[in-house]
Amino acid sequence: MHTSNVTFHERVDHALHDGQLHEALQRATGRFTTLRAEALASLQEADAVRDHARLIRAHTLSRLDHYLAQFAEQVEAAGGVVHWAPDAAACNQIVLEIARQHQAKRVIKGKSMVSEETELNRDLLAAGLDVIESDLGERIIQLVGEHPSHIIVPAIHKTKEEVGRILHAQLGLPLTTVPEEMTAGVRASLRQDFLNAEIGVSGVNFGVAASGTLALVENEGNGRLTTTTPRVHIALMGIERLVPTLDDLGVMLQLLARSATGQKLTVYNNLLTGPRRPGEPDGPDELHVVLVDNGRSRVLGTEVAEILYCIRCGACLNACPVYKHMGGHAYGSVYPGPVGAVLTPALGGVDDWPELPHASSLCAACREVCPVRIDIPRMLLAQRVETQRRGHSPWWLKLGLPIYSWLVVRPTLFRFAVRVGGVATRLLGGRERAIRWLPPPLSGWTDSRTFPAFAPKPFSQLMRERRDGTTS
Amino acid sequence: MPNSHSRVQLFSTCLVETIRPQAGLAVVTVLERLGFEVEYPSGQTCCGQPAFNGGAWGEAAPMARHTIDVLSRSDAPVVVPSGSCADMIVHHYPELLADDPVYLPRAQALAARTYEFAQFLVDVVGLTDAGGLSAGPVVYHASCHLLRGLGVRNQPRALLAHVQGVDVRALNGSEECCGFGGLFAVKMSDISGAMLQTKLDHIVESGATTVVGCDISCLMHIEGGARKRGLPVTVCHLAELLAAQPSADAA
Amino acid sequence: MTGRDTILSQIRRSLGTAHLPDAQAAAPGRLPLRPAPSPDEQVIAFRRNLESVRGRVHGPLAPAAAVDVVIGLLAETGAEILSWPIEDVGLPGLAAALESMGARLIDPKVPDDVSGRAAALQRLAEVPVGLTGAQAGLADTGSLVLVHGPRRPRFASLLPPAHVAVLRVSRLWPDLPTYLASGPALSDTSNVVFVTGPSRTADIELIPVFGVHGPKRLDVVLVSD
Repeated sequence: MHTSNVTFHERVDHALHDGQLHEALQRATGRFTTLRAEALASLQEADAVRDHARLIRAHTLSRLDHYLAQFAEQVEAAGGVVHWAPDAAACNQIVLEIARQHQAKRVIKGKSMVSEETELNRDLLAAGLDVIESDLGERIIQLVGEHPSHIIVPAIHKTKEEVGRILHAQLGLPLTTVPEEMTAGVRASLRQDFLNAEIGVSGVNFGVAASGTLALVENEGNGRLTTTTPRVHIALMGIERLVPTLDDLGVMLQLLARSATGQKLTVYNNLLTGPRRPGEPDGPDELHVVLVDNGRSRVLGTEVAEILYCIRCGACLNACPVYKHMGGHAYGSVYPGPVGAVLTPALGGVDDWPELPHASSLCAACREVCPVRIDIPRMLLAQRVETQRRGHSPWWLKLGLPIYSWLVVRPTLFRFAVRVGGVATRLLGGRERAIRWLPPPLSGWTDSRTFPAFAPKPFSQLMRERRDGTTS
Repeated sequence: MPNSHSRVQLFSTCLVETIRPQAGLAVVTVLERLGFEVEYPSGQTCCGQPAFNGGAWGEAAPMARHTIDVLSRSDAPVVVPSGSCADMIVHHYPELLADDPVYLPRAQALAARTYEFAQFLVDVVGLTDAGGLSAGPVVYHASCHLLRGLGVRNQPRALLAHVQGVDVRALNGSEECCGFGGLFAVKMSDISGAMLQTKLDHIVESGATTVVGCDISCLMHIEGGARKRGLPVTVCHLAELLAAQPSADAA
Repeated sequence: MTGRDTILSQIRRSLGTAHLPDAQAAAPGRLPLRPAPSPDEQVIAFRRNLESVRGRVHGPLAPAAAVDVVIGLLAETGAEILSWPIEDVGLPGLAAALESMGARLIDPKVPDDVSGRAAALQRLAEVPVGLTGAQAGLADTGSLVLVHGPRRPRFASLLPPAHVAVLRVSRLWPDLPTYLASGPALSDTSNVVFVTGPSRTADIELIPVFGVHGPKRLDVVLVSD
């Protein structure tokens, strides 16, 4: 799940100094935020639909074993093959084995966050296979070996000039800054890749338990091509991505595109049930569904199980002021933004990701926009308790908080400490009554702010004087 | 408008105590003007939010119990000049003390009668015109815990709109976080600083010279950033505007 | 233990301690459906919504006029067409008109042997236009419902750069939930697609571009019965 090998603070520092990234993020998140608001305003009873969607997700997870078993049974009844992958290694192993059985050389991929989580491409490449990403944004960053910076628009951090240069250098396309021309070039290039690939690997937006149907939503058409053109289709699905019935799917589809990009529906909503049937002229001859666990079943048993309600719309990213300022790469995870800040330590352990739960001001903008009303701040807090318990606090908090707490429950001593603080801050603050420099670790504050000197008299004293009639 | 429910308790908060006592005095002035008897229970210190938000619930719990004790000697409703502290008491005390059979019911009882200041005036007292006086262009910054924690969105704006002479400008991103977030401002100071710059940019765009809010934490953060950047922007708590009255000419 | 056993048993263990807010024992059921607009309003809404995503809508037209429009659209791109069986396109008189136009309907079948498949795919990729019917339309999103199945190729609405679809007005539904509530058989075939406009992307600086991998042009001919 790691996308970087430098430290969190280095990543953040790098991101915050990238003016172009900042502009691109503001533009993208601003646009999606506006579009989302308009799209939800045009959905009748949007609040009721969101509440209902939450109920669907909650209920499904509360009976996940039942629905997963039902789903698997239905996929098999439709002629598909179901594989169960307890972890990332198992998932990649399964895909490699299928590739081996078919002596496949070329794999074409639709967007799959699960495949990034399991680092499938790395293992396929190591086994000597060609792997091509077919989503335009994913293809662009694949060509330069980068990770997506946004769940919905992975290459948003690139200008069109940069994209043109990348396509020219890596694919030999004529150099241009016109997106239409670039897209036409990529279409032609990928068309051949589609026609020649033996295996198509896709993600799954939702699995429908009652019928064993895979739902894939997209705008470009590469998802349809990935799941139609090659002989073999392998679909990777996180075990939590289920809904019980087609009606439930309809509820989720109404919300997903609106929350993600402000579209009422994405251009293509694909429902796939099994490989092609007798008489069908096209479609894959084999369908493999790989159910990927990789920690989800364990997370289900914890206080942060609610993060599994997520439908991967990206609305929380667009609303999050932290994400808007530092972008996806700074999180260092396949899953960035508010959802990633909870999901990543949940799946990967807080010891590996101690900063993420703290990379938030708990402003709750994410909770406000989440289509299924996931309470991300609650879960960030639970993970902060965990990081604190496991000793990941900085030394000055380990020292300072117990002292502060000790003072707070001793009002006389607290008031004395306030007086001392008053003298100290007024001294440091000088005539301006503002402190411009504090030593580390508090220097973080004074880098971009002054710190106020305490008022000459604390409120409690002024209140006393007022009550005694001694204030002017 | 004295009536049978005309007592309230003031929980001033640690930032009002140390940084902005005039906001606390303004709250008292406004409440007394409305006919309330304002109790100021002794021994109040801090609600414990910084420790709670940092995940140090072991340190936060004693602070919560202490505050509950202080505010439970009287059964009068509690008014807090801070959205985040009010949210802490209302929503997080029961969460923090969920396993404490003695203090959980007390926390719930306290939560049920605790209000942020603007919320109290509009939702409990039932008025949107609490008077006040203002000069110069202002913008309203909506603090996150007040807005999304307590659900208090329109009340402060309604009160502000009725302030005599007030010139309220539109603030882009008024509901976006200023970047304070408690310990976040120090632990993640670079991200916090970046968020602050964006907030300050919006304030400059608005043409306002004063930022009005209901949380001293945010206001202190914004003012500190403005000072560092040399911007002619001051801050003030909503209560301070409401408390101001046209001065009788000097005697 | 198999992968399946490992996963299912961990799930069951976890459900003992899972904190799942708002989880109810009973399945949530269906939300009440919205009152349906009149058929005329649905046509208007369908047109407006599809045009807003760069689809083109023709009609409603009586069958004979619709045939002329379809032939006109197909003729723009050339004589080869990748098509559903004409009876599934659902427009009386179309078969005869296609014949007199000299249209060549390319065999959509992709064989299952490797080299046959490769050759067929290359061939199909050159066809300039696809022709389909639609089992349903959704007014509030401007969507077509394409239920594939025996002899109805997915590629017809996917590979060629242009897609012409015939939709009977009587098959319009107000919205997706209402359509799904009618219990259509959507899992009897390996593929159903809801198509809402031509293929698009905004991956490059959020600038919209059409015709990425799917068709660049989508023409829907509405036929009144």
